[in-house]
Amino acid sequence: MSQILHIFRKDARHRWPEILISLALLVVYATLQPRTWTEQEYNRAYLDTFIRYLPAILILSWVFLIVRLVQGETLVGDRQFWITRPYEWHKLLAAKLLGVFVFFHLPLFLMQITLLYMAKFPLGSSILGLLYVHALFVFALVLPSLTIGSITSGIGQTTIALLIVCVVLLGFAYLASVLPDSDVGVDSPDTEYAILYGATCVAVILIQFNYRRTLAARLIIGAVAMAMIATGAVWPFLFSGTDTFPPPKPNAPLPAQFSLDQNLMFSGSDAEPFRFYRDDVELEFPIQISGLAAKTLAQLRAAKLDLDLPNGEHWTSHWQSVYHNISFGRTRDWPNIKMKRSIFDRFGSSSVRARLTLGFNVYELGTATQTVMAADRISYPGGGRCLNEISRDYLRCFSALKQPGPLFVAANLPNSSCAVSKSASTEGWATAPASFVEFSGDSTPDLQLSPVNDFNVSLTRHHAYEDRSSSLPICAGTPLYISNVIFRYPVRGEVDLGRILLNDYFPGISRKISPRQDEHTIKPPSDALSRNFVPPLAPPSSRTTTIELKL
Amino acid sequence: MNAIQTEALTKRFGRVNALDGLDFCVPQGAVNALVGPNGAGKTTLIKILMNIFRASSGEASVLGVNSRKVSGKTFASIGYVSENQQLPGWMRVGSFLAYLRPFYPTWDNQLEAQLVQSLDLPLDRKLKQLSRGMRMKAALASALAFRPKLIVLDEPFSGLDPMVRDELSKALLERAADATVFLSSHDLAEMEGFATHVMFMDAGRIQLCEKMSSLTARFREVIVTLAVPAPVPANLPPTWMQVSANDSIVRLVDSAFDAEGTPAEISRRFGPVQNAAFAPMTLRAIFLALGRSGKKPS
Repeated sequence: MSQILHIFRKDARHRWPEILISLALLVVYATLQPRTWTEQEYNRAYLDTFIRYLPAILILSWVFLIVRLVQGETLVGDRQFWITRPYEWHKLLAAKLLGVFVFFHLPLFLMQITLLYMAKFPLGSSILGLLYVHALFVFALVLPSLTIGSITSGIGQTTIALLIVCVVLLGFAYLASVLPDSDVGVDSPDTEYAILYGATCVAVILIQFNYRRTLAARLIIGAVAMAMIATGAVWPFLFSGTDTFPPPKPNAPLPAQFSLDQNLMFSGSDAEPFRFYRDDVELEFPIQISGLAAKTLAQLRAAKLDLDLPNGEHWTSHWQSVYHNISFGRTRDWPNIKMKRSIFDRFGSSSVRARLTLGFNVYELGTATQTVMAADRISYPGGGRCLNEISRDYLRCFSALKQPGPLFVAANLPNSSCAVSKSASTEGWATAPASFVEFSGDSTPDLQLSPVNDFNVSLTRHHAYEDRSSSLPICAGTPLYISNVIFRYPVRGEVDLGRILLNDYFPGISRKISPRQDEHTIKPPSDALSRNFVPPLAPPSSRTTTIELKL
Repeated sequence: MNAIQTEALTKRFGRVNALDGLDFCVPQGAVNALVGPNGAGKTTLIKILMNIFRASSGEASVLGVNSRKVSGKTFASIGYVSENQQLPGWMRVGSFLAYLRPFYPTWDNQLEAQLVQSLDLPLDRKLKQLSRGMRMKAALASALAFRPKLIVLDEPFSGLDPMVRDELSKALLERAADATVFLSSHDLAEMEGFATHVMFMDAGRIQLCEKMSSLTARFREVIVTLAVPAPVPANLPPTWMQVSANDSIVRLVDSAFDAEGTPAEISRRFGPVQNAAFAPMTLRAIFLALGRSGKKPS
């Protein structure tokens, strides 16, 4: 233990500038953070810029500090004095970890506790969550920094290593942009990647501290990075969303019936000078929805388009990520599919046979409660509070460590007491009520510096064609229907689009849908809110009102 | 137990054999000078002994510990100084010694003070501000102050001025009484002063390894004046090197000098001898003779 403390004290003396800089930045961050809760702006632009980049600067200062702590006893090369002194490698490593704990984790933890206290969130119940956040920091920041520090000997090599890391990350980003979506399925190798990444970091750190085999350590990192990139490139082709979204079964049926609305299509886009962007075009298909079961929510999570082209070839988009929420009252959704511009150019005006496969996560609404929006603030179920900023069409919400969820909120908006300007929707509103859905059921906190989670809740309502939606202000006195959401099952369904012209489903810039709303009749359902929140809501309290939906 | 022992020690860098099956031992208490030309493999050998490099094959033990396991606590008994060692330049000399102190249970504060004084070390100067010679002195002080059982020095005098070399030699000699010293150097004259054993390496091989007293006793530079001029005969003894004849003067180096046998052998080979001089040789002269003859002496 004495050797550990001895090396630690030496590091503290040696690295005081780096320590001081990171602590100063942390204090500045902690001081400025409460101002962001109220969205106070500074008069000086450079200060705003500094505040915007402060978290990144702070993280960079920690990376630099940890790397420099390790490089206090450089593990690269064979000329350092300490390698022929009675250093015990595990004590040297322990001394470096002690440095990381004292100069990174401890100040950050104290800052987080202080912010929670200032935001009036309970401290005791947040401790475990904070420890989890710090475990995430170990994984995301400490491990890679220790690894870089252990395979580099100075600032120059560190800079090169960080540049290489950036290049590899850009490589991953490029792959993600050109390959079919790999995050569509639960089968995506994220967990395997995380395990491989963590194991590699730990192995490299141990190899370097114990044996100082830098070449071997660097080769291991290079090999693992190459393997991960190669796997990432192949994975989407090996494991498609087909495995993630099984076909419907009697106990896990499709949440509704889906078919192509053949009356609707885009028109006038040919005249658009900027009809294409980049190398991809995005098509949208009007899919009619009928028979969505009561108390059921569906998230359209993935979509795949298959085309039989006129030249006899088959084209598939592979599974693509979509995040569309389909709640009660919806009659239509517009799944969007990206396709290469070159394909679209060749076959856009030809008749092709098309098939759309949709992957859903099906949820069930739990017990609903009704509450009335207060003038200024409202409690968020699950531990949080929201400020009503009516001028901004959303609720500004705060919670400790993570966003509570999952949750469904619906309201009859706009209404007579809470109207919006006519320009908000020139085409009129869809039948489905305004709603907000948070499906994420992850109970663990997110990796973030501030323990005060800041998020918005906006109730959006679809316009008549249900291809777009708008956020609506929530006036005081508006009744809100709030329900928890329970995940049930994933399922996929196929929609035979028949023979279509792809040109008809390219929205272009003008988004002219034909026929117009008045030519295409929408059959409004009955009171969607009441129907889906039966049996009747809890006995009205003094703050509860009954509303009538006029849809 | 020998302080250092190797068995078929080999180190390859790619296709190059830096060390080629070395077998030698350094007895405890010896001051063993490791000499040889540049590229002979001296530094490689020392780095393997200190577990900085790994041997390709063969074994080496240092103070009874396999060289592959020399680390941590083993270094509490080994004082190692190398000419190109990187010291923590940001530390002052005083804080450098103070920092190292707790690592060594046998650290002797009095000896440290004595070394600081005798080597004239400026305790308040940062190591990076010191000259090369002063840094070597600081490194040596830090390697001697804990009374190591084994002192390993890699070219400690290289590029230093005579004053510093003298100070370092003195400090080393004072400590050599109760330690084994293994040092490599180009400076043969310096070695001659205090080495008890000598090892000559060339091209990764040991050409010679023996006690200094025995080496200097068996090497003689011989100048013979013959009564009648004679050519150099064939089939000379293998222990004779650099044999040359000029008229009646014959010169040679005998690597197995025997006060009675050598004169008799000369007479037998060259005929009547008018005069013969047998001059002891310096270490430098011995190794030059060895190097030029390219022979491995018996």
